[in-house]
Amino acid sequence: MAKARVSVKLSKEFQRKISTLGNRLVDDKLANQVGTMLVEESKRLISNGISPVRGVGRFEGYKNPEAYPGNKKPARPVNLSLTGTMLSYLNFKRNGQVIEFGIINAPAKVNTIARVHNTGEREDIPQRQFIPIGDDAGTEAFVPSITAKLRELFRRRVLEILGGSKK
Amino acid sequence: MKVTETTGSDSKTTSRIDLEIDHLPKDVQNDIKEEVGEYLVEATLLALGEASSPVSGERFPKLSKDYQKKKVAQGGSSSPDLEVSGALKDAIDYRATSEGIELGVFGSEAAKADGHNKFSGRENYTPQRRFLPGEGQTFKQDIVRQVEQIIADHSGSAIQKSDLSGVESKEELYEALGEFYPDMSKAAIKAAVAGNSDLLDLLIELDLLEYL
Repeated sequence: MAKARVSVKLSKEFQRKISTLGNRLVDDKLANQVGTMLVEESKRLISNGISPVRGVGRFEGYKNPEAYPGNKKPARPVNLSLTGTMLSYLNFKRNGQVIEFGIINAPAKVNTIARVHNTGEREDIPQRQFIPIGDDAGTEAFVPSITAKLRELFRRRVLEILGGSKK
Repeated sequence: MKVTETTGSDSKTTSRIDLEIDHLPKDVQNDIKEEVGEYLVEATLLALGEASSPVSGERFPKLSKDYQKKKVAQGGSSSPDLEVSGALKDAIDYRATSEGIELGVFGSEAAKADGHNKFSGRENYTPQRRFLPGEGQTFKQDIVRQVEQIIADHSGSAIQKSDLSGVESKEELYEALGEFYPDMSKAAIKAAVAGNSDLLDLLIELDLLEYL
């Protein structure tokens, strides 16, 4: 399964504080904003051959472009898409205060393809990681443009919560 | 942020960028350089993917008909996205410098990059398709804004408990914060603080959060 749990590394102290203000940080609106942004920005990057995962960079080129992709599509950029099926399952869902992001509710075959890309477990297919690996991927697991957008969404939510408290 | 120097050669074609962050502690500067460097590489690749320049005022001329045919036959697209084998784009990178970062192409693809950017002045009879800013140039507005936000978001990490000691009012808090966010409005400072979880925790610890 290629899925990451995305959370912002806010301390328990901060979570406690905002709960005393009558709010929880992640509500439905924020979860939808974050999830939608992750899907859109990831697809945009991937279509340009860039991994959304920090530290990965551009996806490695095909070993034998004449064999694959041949005439099916340009050999560069490598965009993890031929029919578009796998990336059509790139999605998100809220799980409490955490957002799960990745290939979700996909058939077994699609899950396998996603896992092979993400882990590099097959010798004949280079690793082309496009989802952060690990149980708890903070904002820093993504490339700076996505991290910046995550910070902005959380910033707005924090300001919204703080705006309701006066001293 | 400003470009202080450009280099075009067979070993590197780069722009040196001063991020104007020398008022911040070294560890915060290092974090900023890393994130800005990675961001500018990403922004450059995304712009090139759309066959456009990330540099303000620069446009990419269309490919000649002959070269377009040749490029497509080699497996590339018909647009001036600077990509056939992908080697040039794979080589776009950055290095941290004392004042900021050096962004560009290092190594065997540098001459090709200079051919597009025309920093050395050597003539290779191809149109200029500049993807690195020259001296006096800047990136497009959305990229500049993003870099400024990265710097602002990290600046809060320089603030220590001692910097906020004695603060007992909203005015005093913003005066203290203003030292670390120079030339920023209260609203902008508040937004920057809201984006820095370390600083939020500090304000909570000192019971100053409500003054924000």
